[in-house]
Amino acid sequence: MTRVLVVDDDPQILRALRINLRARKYDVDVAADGAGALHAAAAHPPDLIVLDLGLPDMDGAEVIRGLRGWSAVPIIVLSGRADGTDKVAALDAGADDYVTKPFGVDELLARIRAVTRRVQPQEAIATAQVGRYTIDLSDHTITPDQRLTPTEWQLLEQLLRNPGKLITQRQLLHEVWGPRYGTETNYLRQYMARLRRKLEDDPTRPRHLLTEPGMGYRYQP
Amino acid sequence: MFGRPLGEPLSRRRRLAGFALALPGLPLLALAAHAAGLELTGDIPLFLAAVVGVALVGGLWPALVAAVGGFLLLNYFFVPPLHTLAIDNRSNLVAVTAFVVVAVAVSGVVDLAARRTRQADRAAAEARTLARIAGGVLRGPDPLDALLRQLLDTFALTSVTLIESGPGGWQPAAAVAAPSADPADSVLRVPADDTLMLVLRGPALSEANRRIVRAFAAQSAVALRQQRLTLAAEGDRVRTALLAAVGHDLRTPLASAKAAVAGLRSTEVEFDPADRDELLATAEESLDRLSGLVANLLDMSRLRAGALGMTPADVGLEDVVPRALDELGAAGRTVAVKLPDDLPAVCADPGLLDRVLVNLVGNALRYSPAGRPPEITGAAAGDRVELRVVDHGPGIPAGQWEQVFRPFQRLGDRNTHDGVGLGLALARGLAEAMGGTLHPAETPGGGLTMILVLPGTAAPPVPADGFEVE
Repeated sequence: MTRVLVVDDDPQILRALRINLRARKYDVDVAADGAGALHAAAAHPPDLIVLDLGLPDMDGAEVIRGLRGWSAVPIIVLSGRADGTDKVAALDAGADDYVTKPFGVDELLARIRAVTRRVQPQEAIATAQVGRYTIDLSDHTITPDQRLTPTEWQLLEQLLRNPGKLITQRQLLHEVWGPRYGTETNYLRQYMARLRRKLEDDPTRPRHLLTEPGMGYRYQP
Repeated sequence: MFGRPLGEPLSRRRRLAGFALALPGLPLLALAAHAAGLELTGDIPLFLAAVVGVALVGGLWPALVAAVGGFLLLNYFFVPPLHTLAIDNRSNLVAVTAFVVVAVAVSGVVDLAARRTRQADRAAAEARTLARIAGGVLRGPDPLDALLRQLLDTFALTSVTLIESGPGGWQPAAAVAAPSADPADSVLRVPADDTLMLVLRGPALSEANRRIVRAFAAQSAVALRQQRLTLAAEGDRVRTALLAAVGHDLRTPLASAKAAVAGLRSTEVEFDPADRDELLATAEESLDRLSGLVANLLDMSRLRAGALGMTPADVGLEDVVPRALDELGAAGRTVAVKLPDDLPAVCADPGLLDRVLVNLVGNALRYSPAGRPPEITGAAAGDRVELRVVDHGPGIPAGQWEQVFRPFQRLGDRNTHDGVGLGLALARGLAEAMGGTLHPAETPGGGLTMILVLPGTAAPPVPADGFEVE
């Protein structure tokens, strides 16, 4: 069973998430503040942490740094819509993804599945579907036929190998262009636009190759 | 203000005129009387009349000179022994002495009367100025500004400023100024009350005019306090209306969500699956509406408080527009998006830009006729990027365009789906906070077009990727 630690200072949210996650066969621990979260994570190492950024005792990024000192456990942060800065700080501190409050349980479950899937070997994903195209990642073919440049392939592969997961701009630039790159977000913007024009049914309303503005990109299967 | 016993002396000009009348006038009078062969009894009243005339024209000093001169002339020409200053007749001595005494006394009385008249004229002029200022002040819609402006005009000043002492020193509280300032202007500072002072710049003022200014310095302090009270009352009125509107809009979805959930929890009834689904959908839709409204209210209060957290980033409109449309649900999917492939990115906070777009497109959808959904177009405009949200609804007359950006104002009737009229006010506030602008225009063929202009980003060129085989 996957053990999830949910950290939030609001008892109603804790109750709603506990019931929803247990119903989907997750093992749920809860904590109401940052110190409690660090303590619980050490006592019963979880497979995933859902962390609210507005804790009473500690800054969310502080909690993440405290965990990242010794644990690679996937972390999903819950943040208010206006906390753009906190969200970026949390991702920089090592959070894996975020969900904006108020959120639907479906959305949170999708994120949980995406970040816990990371531990599976990447080879497990051989083909992926983008609209009407089937993309074979092992022999680099697309059916029906569609040609991509090498850079487009690399970019697409990074996304398809992490279905549902947020890949930050910096991560993508490092992986595709090299470690010297990290701020050239316009590269990503242009190449993503090309990929959408080639693969999405309606490039102006993408369904699979999604942008999280200012954060990164996500392949939605 | 009226504490001077003798009033002001007569003007220098009048005094000189008095001397000019007395010095040649009396000898000529003596010659004329001599030629006419008048006796002393006729000469004395004649000279007395002349002294009074000089006193009326030139005041005390010319009159005294005329009295002494008259005495000498009478004595020399008309009192025996003639052509000497000696007097040998006792009754003549009494007559000439009485002439001098009466002349001096009359001079004094006439002079005093003239001074009093002049003083009264001056007081009347001051009273007229005061009345004019006070009248203008009391009648106008902005008493403080009217008062300062009246002072400016009345005394031909270049500027009038009411300054207030606060924690950071003296700060201007209100000011009016003439178009041009003269470096030679003098500055007059007049305390209005403990914390206020009137500063006048312009030609030097006479003592009388300073008295008027002092009186109105106190008035300006009262006008300022009055103005602040009025503003506070207006603020209270707006807040009350806002609370009522927000209260209504928050309670409506809360009530329906609560009713739906309470119904589902009831142990007294059994719902069939279709009813259960409908109740749950009602609860969720109500809560979505509620969260949209709360988001707008929070953003508006952050905007007002200057506490808007902003993380500007290079954002592609092709990325934020579809997300905003998704938030608008089924209606959002009808909107046509036409953004050119080479549209530059904008520099904006992605979350705030999303709120701007949701509100703009939501508004456009609300007024769009069935079958004619809004369109979104984009274009580069110099170093800025222009996004147009075009609707084909009834439109708004150009004269009322600015009204739609006032919070809690919506043209036409409210209905319960709209929420308070906060969307466009918020959209403009957020756009401006990000260094952009938001202006309405008319859609050709009818309807409203909202033009959002945001700073663009000058992105370096993307290296070519030359292996593509098309």
